[in-house]
Amino acid sequence: MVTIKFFGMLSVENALTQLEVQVDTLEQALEAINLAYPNLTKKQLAQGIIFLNNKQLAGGKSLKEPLRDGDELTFLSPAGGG
Amino acid sequence: MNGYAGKIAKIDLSTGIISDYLLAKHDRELFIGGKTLAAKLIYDAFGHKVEAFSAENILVVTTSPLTGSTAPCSSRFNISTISPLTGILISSNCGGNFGLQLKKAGYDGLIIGGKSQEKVYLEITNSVITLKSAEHLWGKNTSEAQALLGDKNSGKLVIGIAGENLVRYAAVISEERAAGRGGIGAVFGFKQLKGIVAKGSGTLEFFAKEKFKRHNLRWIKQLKAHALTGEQLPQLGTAGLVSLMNYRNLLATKNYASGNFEHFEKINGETLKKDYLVKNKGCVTCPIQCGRVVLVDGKEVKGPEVETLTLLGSNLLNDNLELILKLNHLCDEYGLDTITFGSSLGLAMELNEKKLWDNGLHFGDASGLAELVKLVATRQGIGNDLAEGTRRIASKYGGSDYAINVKGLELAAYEPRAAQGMGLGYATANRGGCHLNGGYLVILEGLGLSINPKITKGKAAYTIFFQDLMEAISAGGTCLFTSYSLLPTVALKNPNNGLVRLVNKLIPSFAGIVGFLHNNTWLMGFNLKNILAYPYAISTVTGFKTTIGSFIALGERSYNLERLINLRQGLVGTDDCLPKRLTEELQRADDPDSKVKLQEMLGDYYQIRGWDANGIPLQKRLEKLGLRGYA
Repeated sequence: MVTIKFFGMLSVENALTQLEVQVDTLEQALEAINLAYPNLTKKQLAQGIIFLNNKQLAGGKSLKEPLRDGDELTFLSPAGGG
Repeated sequence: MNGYAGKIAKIDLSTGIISDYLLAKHDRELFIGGKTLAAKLIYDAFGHKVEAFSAENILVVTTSPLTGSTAPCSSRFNISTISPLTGILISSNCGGNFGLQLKKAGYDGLIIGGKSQEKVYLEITNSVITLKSAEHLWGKNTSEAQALLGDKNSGKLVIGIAGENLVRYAAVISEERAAGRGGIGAVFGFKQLKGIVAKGSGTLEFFAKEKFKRHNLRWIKQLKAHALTGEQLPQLGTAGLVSLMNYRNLLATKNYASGNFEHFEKINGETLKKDYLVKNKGCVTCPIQCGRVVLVDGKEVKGPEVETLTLLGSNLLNDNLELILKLNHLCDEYGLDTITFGSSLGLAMELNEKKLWDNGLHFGDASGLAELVKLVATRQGIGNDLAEGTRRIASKYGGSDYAINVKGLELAAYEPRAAQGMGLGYATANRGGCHLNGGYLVILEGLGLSINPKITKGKAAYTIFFQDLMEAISAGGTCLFTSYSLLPTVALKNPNNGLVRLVNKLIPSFAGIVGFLHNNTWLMGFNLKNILAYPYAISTVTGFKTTIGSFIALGERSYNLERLINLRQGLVGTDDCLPKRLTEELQRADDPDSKVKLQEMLGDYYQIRGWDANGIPLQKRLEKLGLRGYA
């Protein structure tokens, strides 16, 4: 199972903190999220801030990023303050 | 007088004499208001170095032309003085309603000098200033003292018990907001001044009221529609930063030994909202409403900001959010800066761990911290040492390499080894280790935009630009948070979009242009009011010919003037540095870039600023900024 965590406005707006999914790639993970939460589109998620096991994923190539059992995928929102 | 009440009062607490201070029209246009006007008044007041705890030192309280105009987040005020923590200039900007009421009472500013023989407070009502006995207020915490100072509509600022006891990081509290940094509250305490209460019925005159109103409505709408000022800050407050900072290795942890906290989810904004938030709260005229109201011991009180969650949380390996809320409230009541308090605790814990100071404090053990707030505020037991801040603690017990301050002021929550520009900002900020005065470049380095935080290329020019921008915004009188709406929402929300990635990659390459424009502000002698709202707002309120260029020049003038005051106070170029932990120790052993490469940026910084190799502003630059004769 892959654990998916959500923080920031993504979490607040969708009342969503964590999901557990059985997927093999990032793209499949995005599809699984979209299936459960249709408001969260695959494109929106893919273009946001994504970390896989605390390492940031960047660029279009990351959609093919393989995911393994026990991985932690994280989606974050931008933030500012002081 | 358009944009101004038109008067500044000079109050000598030693003699009780109150008089008007005459400010030339030319100086009003040159220094505008807020911290910039305060710097001008402090520069003129002394020709030599001044001790913080002396009758000679002055407290300068200022408002700005946008105060009282209904511009977004414009009810603020500034207090500047010579800091007992750093020995150099400190300015602290505060929300609440005091600034608004001071101006309605007929004053743009107050210059408070001398030292009272009795415990006093100042009452200002419709241009009448009275010194009154504060015997009944002394020894009271900040909420009690404010309750005794008059009705809810009055603007009030007071010190707590920490200020009375000259704790070097004592704050001034107004409603629940704090002019927190640098120990301004201790200067109040030294002068035996418990607080100020202001109330008035004056109204602001506008140069072009209808134009301002139309502009203002558009500005407010823009802030409400923005990803940060319209979504994140209202929904999660600044606490909404904690999670992203943790993933970006920016969350100060264990006295800045690390940028990640294993239990960050227990103290982040999402948990704060879910488990403790009662409602949002904001200052008068604020469309952002970043303030939190939370329950502590069954009472509704102000919730913590990211700084407090970090400095009293991850920095101490403390994951007890309920306790952090309580500590935050206690610090407000006693009148303490939570940043310096938390950093002093972090250093004390590390010194204990290294057997350099047997103080009984341990990382991860939060028991006794609530009692420690009182011990610090009353300077009892180890509280007496902790009340001195990290620089003095390290002088006594050792550990200066990991005493996390710059120029004596403790760093904010952002661990700079994961953001080079933020590191440069901390090292060069006029206040010392301040993120906002440092330019807050971290907003471009991973929190908002996604410029590569590891590179040093171009960071000097952007740091300077943002330092000066923040300075000018503050002088104008609005909250610095309004500046976040300058960042396009589409770029914030879509860092993985191909075009956004390209822009983020190219931004450092534009540094040469940014530096050139900064040094040739005449090229920006126009307004783009839908993008940079401030200059046009100031222009329509005051009638001054304020453009983007003159606005940035105002910020630069202010930064240089503050630098001159600091040089007079004994600052030298080598003080533009960071604790060795941040420049010599890697944050992450597997990443050779995870330390601040300050020396790669500092030369560029001085060169673009027009300062010599020792960090002293050159006469040519000062003259260009209208500061001929200043040195």
